Amino acid sequence: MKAMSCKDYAALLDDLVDGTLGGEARRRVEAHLETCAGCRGTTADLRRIREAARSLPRVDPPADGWSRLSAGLDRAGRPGLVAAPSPAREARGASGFATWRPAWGFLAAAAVLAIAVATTLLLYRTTPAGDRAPAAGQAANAASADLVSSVETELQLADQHYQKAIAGLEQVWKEGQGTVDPQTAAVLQKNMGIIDQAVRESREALRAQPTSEAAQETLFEALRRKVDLLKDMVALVNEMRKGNQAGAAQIVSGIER
Amino acid sequence: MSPSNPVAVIGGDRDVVARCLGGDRDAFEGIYRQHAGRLYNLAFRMSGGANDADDLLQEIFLQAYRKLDSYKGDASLGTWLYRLAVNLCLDRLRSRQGRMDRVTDSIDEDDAPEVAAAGRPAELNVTRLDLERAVGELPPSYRAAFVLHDVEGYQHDEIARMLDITEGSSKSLLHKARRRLRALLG
Repeated sequence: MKAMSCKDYAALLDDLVDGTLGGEARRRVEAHLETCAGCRGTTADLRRIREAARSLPRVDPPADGWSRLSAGLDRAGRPGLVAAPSPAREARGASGFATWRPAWGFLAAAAVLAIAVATTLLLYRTTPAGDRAPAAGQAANAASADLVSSVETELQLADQHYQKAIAGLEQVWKEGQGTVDPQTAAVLQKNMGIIDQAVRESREALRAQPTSEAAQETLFEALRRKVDLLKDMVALVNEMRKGNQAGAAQIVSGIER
Repeated sequence: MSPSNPVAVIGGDRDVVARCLGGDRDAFEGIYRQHAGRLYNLAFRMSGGANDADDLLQEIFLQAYRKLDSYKGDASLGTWLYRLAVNLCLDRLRSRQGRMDRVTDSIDEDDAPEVAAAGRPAELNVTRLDLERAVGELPPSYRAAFVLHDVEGYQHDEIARMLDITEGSSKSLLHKARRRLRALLG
């Protein structure tokens, strides 16, 4: 068997220091250390680093941590709904300890979404109810528009994509909501009201800080949630029109979750 | 040795989350009070300073609040929060350093050169401040492996699950992190 070199032993030294090396491997490493000053020194250093790491003092979170967080939550609405950027991130801005997501990311996402919504509505139109959503077709066409360089314009474009997609879905819902029992429709409208509130608050936050990446992200997250809910509502109308009570119940259950 | 995680009473966690989702702010404050200390220490060691750690802690809990409806109770709430926190810290570190590579990308980097025995003190003198400064110079993925294993006491299988990498990758990252630290401290 070929003799092991110091390089071969290098990874095993970590296991030895961590106490996870046993049996024959451990005996071989220990035998090597008796004759190799270099690896012995490395092992000693690794032990010191490990011990120092374990000895690092615990630190306490800031005393006002909860009150700061609570203020942020006030603007975040209900759990699971995004409505406001973190105060910390707002204070530090995009150049601080925050992720910068270019505005074209929103535009691209909005364009993809518009196409997805258009597809949803196209499928919907294949039902006997006929043609119901001209706005969504416009949204899909708009998705192919050239990207422009201005961040502000791109954000406006992304917003427009969402608005067109939402308008198309709302039109379908308006026409078909009579097929849904009033109690379910009321719950869906209530949920939509919560999301609309989040959208309004996000717009206000973005107006106050137009360049805040967090505020942009928050608005588009709220818009995405609105589109998701509307898509579920349209799917519900579809199932009701088909008389598929089980499918409708599954959708309602998914919305409730 | 694993760190002393909060007792994983998943049924209880589900109840608390359900209360939060129902709008019970006191329930969410309870979650904050129970887990803020552990998550703050992680954020502090990963970011290297109190200011960034303060911001990170806020972000961790805001993100948790936003994502509470995705907690399915497969793991304890503490584990769910910790994993969310680790990945948020890594994202922020990478963003700050302009590195958008995946965790495993760094595995193929060359090892730091071994410190020659000659020309350096016979024994490495590791002070707290020196170690903290050196940890701050580690690439994000090295730092995550070192902080989670050597500072926080997690095992490689746990780190692998948290970072969504293999156990072997976790060992490799730790190995390289320690060699880099040795070079920095030598």
